[in-house]
Amino acid sequence: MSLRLADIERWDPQAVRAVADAAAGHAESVVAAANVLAAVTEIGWEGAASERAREVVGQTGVELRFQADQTLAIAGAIAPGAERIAAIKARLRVLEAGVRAAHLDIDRVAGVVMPAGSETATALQLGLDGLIDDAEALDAELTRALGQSAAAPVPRTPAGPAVPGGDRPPAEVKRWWDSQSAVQREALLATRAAELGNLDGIPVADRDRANRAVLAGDHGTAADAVREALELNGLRTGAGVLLLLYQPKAFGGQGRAAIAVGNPDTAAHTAVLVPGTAHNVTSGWLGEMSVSNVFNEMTVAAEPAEPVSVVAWMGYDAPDSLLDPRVALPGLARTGGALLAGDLRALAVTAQRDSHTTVVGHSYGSTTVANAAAGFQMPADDVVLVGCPGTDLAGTAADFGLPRGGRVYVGSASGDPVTYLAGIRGGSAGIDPVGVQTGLGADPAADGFGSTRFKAEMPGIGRQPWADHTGYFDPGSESLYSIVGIAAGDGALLGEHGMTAPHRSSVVGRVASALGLPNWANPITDPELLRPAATGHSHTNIPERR
Amino acid sequence: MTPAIRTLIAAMLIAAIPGCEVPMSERETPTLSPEQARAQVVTAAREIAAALPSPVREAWFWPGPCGDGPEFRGQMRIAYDRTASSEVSDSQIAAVIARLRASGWTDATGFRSRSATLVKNGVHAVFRAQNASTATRGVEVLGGCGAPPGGAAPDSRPERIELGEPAG
Repeated sequence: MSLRLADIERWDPQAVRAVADAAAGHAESVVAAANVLAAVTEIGWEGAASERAREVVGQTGVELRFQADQTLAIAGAIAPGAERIAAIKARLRVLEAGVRAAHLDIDRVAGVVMPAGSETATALQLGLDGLIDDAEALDAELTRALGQSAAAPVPRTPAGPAVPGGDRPPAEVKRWWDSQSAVQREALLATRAAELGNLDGIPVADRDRANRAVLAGDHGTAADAVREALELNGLRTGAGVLLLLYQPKAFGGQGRAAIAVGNPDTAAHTAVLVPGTAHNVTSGWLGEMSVSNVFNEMTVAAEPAEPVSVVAWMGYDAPDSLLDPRVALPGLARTGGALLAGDLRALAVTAQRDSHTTVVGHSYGSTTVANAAAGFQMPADDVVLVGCPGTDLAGTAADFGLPRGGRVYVGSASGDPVTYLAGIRGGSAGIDPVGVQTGLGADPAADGFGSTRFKAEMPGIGRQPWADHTGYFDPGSESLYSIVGIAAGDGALLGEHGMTAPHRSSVVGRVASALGLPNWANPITDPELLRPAATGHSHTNIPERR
Repeated sequence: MTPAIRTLIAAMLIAAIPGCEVPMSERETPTLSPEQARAQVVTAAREIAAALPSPVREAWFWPGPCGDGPEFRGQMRIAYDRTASSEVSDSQIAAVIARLRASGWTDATGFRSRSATLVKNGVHAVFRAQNASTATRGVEVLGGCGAPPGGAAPDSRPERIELGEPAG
């Protein structure tokens, strides 16, 4: 159908612009509704019915987003059309003025300049024909654009590209995430939080947003413990706290989670803390003081312009208690070592700068760290083992496979009974009165292991043997002082600060073995037993800089 | 060698080591009610806040662990504004320390920290230098260790404390 001049004269570009604006506004409202709907799916409702509800709500969200996309497409097609309509109408006004000036007229139905025949009439007719052709072309374009939008089928699969599975390499996931537009990432975070929060290769800040969205709808001991840990660490440090791993149902409901005080992706120095026996998410370890103690000291040990991060990693199934038979076996430390190494490889992929990473293992957690390094190629610059009952797969420091300049540092209080469970290299390998080997491998504090041992004595030796095992992160302790120095990249300065300690003696250990002395006599192998805590240091309490 | 003799030798070796002698003062833990623990650090925190060079943004109190038993200590974190440079911050902290020394605070001995640390009446104050990781500077206040009467654990929830305006 051909357009008539009367049709063109009725076109109203202002009205078309208003329609385009209204369509765009409507699309925004639909997207907002879809986001609200996505949040509704995270209400902590469990069971078969909840799965079906999520499915239905998920499809509704997909349809809403589809409708929003289509409405936006219409708005996008209409908006430039309005400008072209205005231009055509302006041309028509100029042409009509020319017709009047030549004392001619226009047949508005036929689109003909009258009377025809003169040179002026012919020129004006050519202009009028061109104008009507352009108007018809514009009309056809708009009709085609609107028709395509209306004909597009509603997708039955989630909008946007598929989220990579958890089995994909972190680097591949990172490339996929980087390839998404900011709008797409926002949409994915709003609709696919449960898949993104624990996906290795997603930046920590985005994982935090996704995990917090899931956490907001969760109830139960693990969720409550994580919420409390996020709050407590924020209050105690004044830093941003990120939830980079959140699986509340893992390990029989004890939970698998990790939080970061300060963002490890942007930190110059990161310390990863790995706890030991009797710790899990529900026990509240993520909110214990050790995390904030290390962070607060690290902010001073590092240069003022260097951001730091402390990751509290409760990512493995630790033995439940000292009565748990698994505490004397390396199985959980090996499984946990694989998990730890994997999580650290993911952090290495999302790091935005060259950073220094120190992995700090305590008690059974130190065995886990040793296994992550010796058995699973854990990426770390330095390793700290405190209260270590043995290094299992690592027979010496060389087995940790650290990069050039990396070291294995050890803090073992002479009064810490757990550290004597480890076999002293070349000496008494944890021989108890009935001759049974105990412990989880080599003692990294012994001579010949190849570690750097730092001072880690606790005040009041012998008063509370168990406190000697749990006090390595206490404020004001020699141990904490050394740990943060290492984590801030200053481990090589421990000797200069008078913080290194002599190793346990394998010679004395051999004598003890020859005499058949029981395990609890092993402290006689430790030269540190003679030194009260907090003596012999060369540093002061004045803030130090490298 | 019989097990009894082996045990005797080991016990004699351990007993002969002077480091194992524990002073009486370290064996005894004073009784400290949750209210006393709170008052101890809040009083100290008010004195510190008055000496700070910029407004206190927030201050929080909580009972922290002390050893592995029922003992606990009052703890606080005082957050106050950063300055434009770390050099200015360090000089301001040095001035605060000088002010507090004049009112009875002394250098902490036996308390190892990367930060300047003062002590008064058994309360430690740890002055954190400015760092890019945090939006504010901080002072941590740690009270003395005490055991609650009857072994009752204090409420561990953090409490926001209003410390008032600094003297400038």
